[in-house]
Amino acid sequence: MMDLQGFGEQIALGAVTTLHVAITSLALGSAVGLCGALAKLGPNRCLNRLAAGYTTIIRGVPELLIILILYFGGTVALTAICGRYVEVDAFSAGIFSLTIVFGAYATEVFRAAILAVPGGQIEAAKALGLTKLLVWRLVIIPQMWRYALPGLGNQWLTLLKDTALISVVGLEDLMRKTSVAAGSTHDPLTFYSIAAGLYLSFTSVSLVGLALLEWHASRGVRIAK
Amino acid sequence: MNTKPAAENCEPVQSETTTAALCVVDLKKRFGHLEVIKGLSLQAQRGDVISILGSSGSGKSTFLRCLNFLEEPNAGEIWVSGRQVKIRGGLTGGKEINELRKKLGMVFQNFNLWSHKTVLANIIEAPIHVLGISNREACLRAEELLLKVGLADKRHAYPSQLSGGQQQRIAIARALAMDPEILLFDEPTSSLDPELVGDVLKIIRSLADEGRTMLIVTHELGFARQVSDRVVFLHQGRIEEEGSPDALFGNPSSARFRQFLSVQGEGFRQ
Repeated sequence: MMDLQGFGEQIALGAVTTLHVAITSLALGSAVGLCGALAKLGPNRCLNRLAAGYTTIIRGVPELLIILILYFGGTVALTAICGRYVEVDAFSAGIFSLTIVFGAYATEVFRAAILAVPGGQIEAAKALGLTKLLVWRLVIIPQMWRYALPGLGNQWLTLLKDTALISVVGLEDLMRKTSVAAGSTHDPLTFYSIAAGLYLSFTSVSLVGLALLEWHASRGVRIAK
Repeated sequence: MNTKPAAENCEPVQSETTTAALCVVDLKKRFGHLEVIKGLSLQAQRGDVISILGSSGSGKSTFLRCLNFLEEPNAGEIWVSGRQVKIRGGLTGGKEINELRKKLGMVFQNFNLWSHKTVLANIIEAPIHVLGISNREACLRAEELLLKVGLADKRHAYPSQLSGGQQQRIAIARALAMDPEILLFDEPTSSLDPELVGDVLKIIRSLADEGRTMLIVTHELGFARQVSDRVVFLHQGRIEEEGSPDALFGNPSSARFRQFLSVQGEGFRQ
């Protein structure tokens, strides 16, 4: 058994925080992405431009910078609004910035997925008298899901690893706990290897989950071999 | 040729049976500056089978798609069973359009079955969600329709597991499940292999024999001649010639229709 020199519990706590931030950002970011895709594809010019600006800026700036800007910017903004010094906590700032980042990429993934749903199938649903909402629920969403999954899976892996960046603003995540342990024990290799192993195990489990989801979403699809 | 029926004929008459099932008055549709339907009028009585012929670009598919607002018409009147749907160029309410679509079943050239749903699910979704009938009832009705189109054993198959002809027969069952007043067929056999066309035509013919009101856009001239009460020939968004199939095919008066017959009807000689 590896000697964790009493840091085992701290690292486990860090891992839970990492998963917490990642999963919350995934859920919120997916919602943002869906809204972004609808805004891009909808008829409203103003929303089109707004969504285009959002994805252009977020995808064009390094994640680390976005996190720093949102963290310090958030503190400045909240202080201005409240009239006294308010510090944004690293946890909320982390979730907020990762949601914004994930949302921008998810917007493009969802946009492509919606466009990939065969138009004829949507017309057939309309011709049967189904309302707009039902056309989305019965025909578009179940099928765009299938097209979105591979791209969304990629973004999820990136997101999971990007949580490590939040440690720069002081989030007590797996990365930060590990680097504290590495520093105080003077045994960086062991601790960084453990962290790497943990990240790898999270992403591996995700890959299995994704494969299952893709299998489930591909009912009725014939794949050329 | 473009005789315009007075709108009075479209309104409900005292006895239900004499009101036209479908009445279209001076329908117009533009795509940008291109006018595709240039004032088209057509009336179908209950039980009428009307074939719509025309070369590609004549506006026959667009006309059919305007009737259920898959393309929003720019002007004109559409009456279904004595009730008018207001055409307001992009402003027609969704509710009004959905009411209209309940009454008009449509069968597409490319079947357009939902590929992520089984045959049974394809058939029952609309009756459950639009007509509000129970799942059980919808399934019973779907089973009946599957028997009718001869595919009862395919109820749990996915569309990708079926041949084109089978898919089109399911698409017909899906349209019938809504029990529409009028069936619109948009080139139902045009993307089928020749040996599969017969099965689909047989079903459409049996529907005609049941007395259903149908508008059929088709290139199957022999079929159109046999099954239709009336044939309409479109040219550049207008009705060029219209009449009984025997009169039209036997003695076409328009030079364009004669030419169309000679080009299209290489394999069609009585």
